[in-house]
Amino acid sequence: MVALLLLPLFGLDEYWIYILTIGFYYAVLAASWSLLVGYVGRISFAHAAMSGIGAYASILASTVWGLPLALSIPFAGLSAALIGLAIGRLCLRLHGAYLGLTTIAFSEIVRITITAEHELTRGSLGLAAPALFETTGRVPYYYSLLALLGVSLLVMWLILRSRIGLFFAAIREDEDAAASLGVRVVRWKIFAFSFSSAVAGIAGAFYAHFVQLVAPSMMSIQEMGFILSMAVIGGFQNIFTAALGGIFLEILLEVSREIGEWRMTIFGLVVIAVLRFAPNGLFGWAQRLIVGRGP
Amino acid sequence: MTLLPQGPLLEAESVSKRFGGLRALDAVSFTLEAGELVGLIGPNGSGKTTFLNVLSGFYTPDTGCIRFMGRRIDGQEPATLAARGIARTFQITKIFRRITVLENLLVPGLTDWTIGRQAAGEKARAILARLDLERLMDAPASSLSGGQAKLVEFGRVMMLEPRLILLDEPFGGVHPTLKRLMHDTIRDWNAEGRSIILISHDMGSIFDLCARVVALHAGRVIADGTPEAVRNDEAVIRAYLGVDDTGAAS
Ligand SMILES: Nc1ncnc2c1ncn2[C@@H]1O[C@H](COP(=O)(O)OP(=O)(O)OP(=O)(O)O)[C@@H](O)[C@H]1O
Ligand SMILES: [Mg+2]
Repeated sequence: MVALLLLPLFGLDEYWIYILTIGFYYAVLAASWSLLVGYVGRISFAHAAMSGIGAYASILASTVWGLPLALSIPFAGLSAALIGLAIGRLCLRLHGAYLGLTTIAFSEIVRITITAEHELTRGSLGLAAPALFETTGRVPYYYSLLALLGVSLLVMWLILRSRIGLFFAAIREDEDAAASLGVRVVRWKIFAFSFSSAVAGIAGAFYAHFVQLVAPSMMSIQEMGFILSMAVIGGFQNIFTAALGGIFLEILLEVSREIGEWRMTIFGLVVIAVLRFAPNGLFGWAQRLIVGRGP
Repeated sequence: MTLLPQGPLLEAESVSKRFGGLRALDAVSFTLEAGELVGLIGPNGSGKTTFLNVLSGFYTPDTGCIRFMGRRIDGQEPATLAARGIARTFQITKIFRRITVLENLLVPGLTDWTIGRQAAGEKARAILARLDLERLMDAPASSLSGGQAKLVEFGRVMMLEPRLILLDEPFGGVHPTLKRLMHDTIRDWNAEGRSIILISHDMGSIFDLCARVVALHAGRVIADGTPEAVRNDEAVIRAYLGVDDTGAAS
């Protein structure tokens, strides 16, 4: 973390500052997705959609309603949280494949709706977003996304080490047992879904005001696949390893640009290998090696 | 314990529950006075677990009603009933394997938001000491034996300080030493004024612990009385023999 704070000061070139900034964005998404999947044990393929909802919500709130970004970004989080709440209410009683399919369906509905809509969202052309800072330099964005990552990891960590984290663990393992002991299973699952959506929405808003142009493709299943790969390869049983996976994979994506779309095939294979051989992810595995508990 | 309203602690009135064409519970009426320890027996598939699921909020009865401390509880959520004083264990043990033994007890302990971590931790430790699990406190629950896991379920129940405890087959596959500890614990609970419904195929335990036994067969109450009377009841003998033909009774 300290190293990340200092990097730009040592004259890291603009290009890499840009890549790392995007990496921080993905780290927030991978970590918040892991909160839901790794800690509560509920799958969602709507996380990229939530980020997109946040991005569009913040852009529209600032351009159409004229809200300052300091308000439109929280509004983005709120929008994603409310939509997450609604979906959670609708489908968190479903299990496994049903939940997964419902979230995919939702994600695609959002993406296609935005693609088809021209008046407000300009369809697949994409929507220009106001910049977060007046300067054209990338360093302020680097620090704001890093701060966002730090704050969201901190908030998630605080939640997870509170009694709510214990309820999550109980729900993940056995909903019936948890309910019989007084845990409000449905309420906490909806909370987890809604909260992780809010984090994704805020991240999406920051991203939008950084890159200044968003398109519906940020909600694609492929994008969701990226987030999933990052979390799984980093280690989705832990928000910190998942976040590292986000930064790590974004860097890897850049350095392997030359091999083009093959990257996705390779990532897919790595995800499968990690799930099979290192279920705690590469960083979880490395951590265990270092701490000496064996793989 | 605080004053109870007049009348029985628990009253099930003509409760029925079907699964498709199967009548798992067929107009079951049952009354439990505060402080009673009742054994619930019956051949496999007679509806014992289903009855427990209905009492603890996991199933809503199709017809009939259930009153607890004078108020309707049928159709309420399990978590609500846990908070109102009904706690249960499961026939197939459901401990949280990936967290520690202590944390297993903290889950119910912390569902009451007025209780802090410190207080819940102290309470959990005292309970674990009573169950002879103190030294395993920080072990992951997955490392426990089957019997110890059942004891953890006992411990979680105690954290809730329930008025009514529902035990589904707690002695299955448990080592005799642990079984004795469980017997003692159940007697202690009862002496503290808690009411208990104990499902067990272990007739020795039922006879040791219960002054009253209720027998179910095919979803109906076929006998209700002292252990002696129920054991010698013709309908009960026939029910068990009938199941014996298929080799399912134990
Ligand atoms: N969720 C369910 N769906 C369908 N049928 C069920 C369900 N739960 C129970 N049953 C059926 O209802 C009947 C009563 O089952 P129940 O589990 O209550 O019996 P039991 O007396 O507890 O038996 P055992 O002694 O084997 O534990 C059985 O025929 C069982 O197959
Ligand atoms: Mg049963």
